[in-house]
Amino acid sequence: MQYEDRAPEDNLNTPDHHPVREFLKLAVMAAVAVVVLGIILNFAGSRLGALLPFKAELWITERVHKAAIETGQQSPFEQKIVQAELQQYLQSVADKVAVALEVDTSMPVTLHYSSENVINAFATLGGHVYFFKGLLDLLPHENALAMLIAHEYSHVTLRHPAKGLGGGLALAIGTSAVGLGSENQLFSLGSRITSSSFSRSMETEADRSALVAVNAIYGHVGGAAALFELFMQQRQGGSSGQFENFVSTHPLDQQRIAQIDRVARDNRWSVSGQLTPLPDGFQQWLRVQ
Amino acid sequence: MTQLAIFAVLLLLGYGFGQLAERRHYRSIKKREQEMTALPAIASRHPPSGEYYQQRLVIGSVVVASDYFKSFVANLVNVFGGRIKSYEPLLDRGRREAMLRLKQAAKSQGANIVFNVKYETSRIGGGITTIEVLAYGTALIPLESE
Ligand SMILES: [Zn+2]
Repeated sequence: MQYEDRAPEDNLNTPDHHPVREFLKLAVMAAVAVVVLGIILNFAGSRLGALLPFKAELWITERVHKAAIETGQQSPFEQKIVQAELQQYLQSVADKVAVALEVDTSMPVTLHYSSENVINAFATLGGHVYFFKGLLDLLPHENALAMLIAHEYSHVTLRHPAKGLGGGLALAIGTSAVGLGSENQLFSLGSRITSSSFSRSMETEADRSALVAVNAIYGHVGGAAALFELFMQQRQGGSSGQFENFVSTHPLDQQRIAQIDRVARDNRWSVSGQLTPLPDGFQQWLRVQ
Repeated sequence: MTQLAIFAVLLLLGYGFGQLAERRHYRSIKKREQEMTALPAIASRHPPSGEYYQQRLVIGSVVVASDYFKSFVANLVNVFGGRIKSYEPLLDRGRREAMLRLKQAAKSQGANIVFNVKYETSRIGGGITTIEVLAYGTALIPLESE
């Protein structure tokens, strides 16, 4: 018998391998899969979030509030409005908005004010709405203030915080399920609550709803666009550092102004009318606190 | 952002060093395989009859690690299915290196043939894929060479 050994043929067990090409192909496939899954998860999560009763929102914020106090941290729900005249005035405009938007009494909205010089305002779970001095300081008249308050109110009535929370949680669960994220993300509910950002479609929806309220209160939507013109000016002025999520996640100012005109035209609302001035001393009230 | 940068660096390092190691290893493997053809390794369980040999167990074992790039690509393939092409050269190198070491062991003992050769592969360690390939067989050493 003859025994023979030959060196193995080349490439028999490792044929035609292009590592970089394979990597690029797989990376594109994975990116598409992640985006599609993300959209589905976010959509499903926000649908589920919308089913959350408002009472559950209140329960969550109450828990966060208590947990913050127990651990000696500052609760995000503490910043009530100290200055009495400011409190009264903001509340009076908010009440008009609430009537115009037919806000259910089972959905109480709490106003908060921070004297931080940030151009920001936001709404979060449990009907907590925050206004910052930096933004209120720039408002030219009550109509713009009403637009701002109505916008934040609309986020609450349209259940945007709950939808955002649902979508965010679904995404966090999804990413940690495939091992991309950490479980910590799931439990960072507290930070999620104070930094809630909404999708552009939610912002557009809130703008539309806010216009209905402004028109109902003043009989015209004049001055509503001033809010966004103000953002545009600030942005051009280069103070973009002060803008926080209110502006950065919101649709382009021009688009929002254009939308006001469009909605007004469709509904035959007047875009000009008597503008209501802010009360005397409004800017002094903002400085207290 | 930092995480992404670290990831990209690891991926690049993995690719660069992985390819370098692989090319070098293959060059060495091919050279030694040519040198070792004089010592056949046979899978048959039946040694040649009529001749007198001393039989000894010889083993050749090697541990090869994947690199970050290969493992990442393999993980992606795990999602979509299909051949994990990035691991195929790894195992191929492992088997051929183990065989070369087995032959080296046999040669140093004066064997002129190795019978009943078998391979075993096992995964060791966690994290980045690391494999051990073991080749073992019966070296037949002519009695007069003792
Ligand atoms: Zn908004």
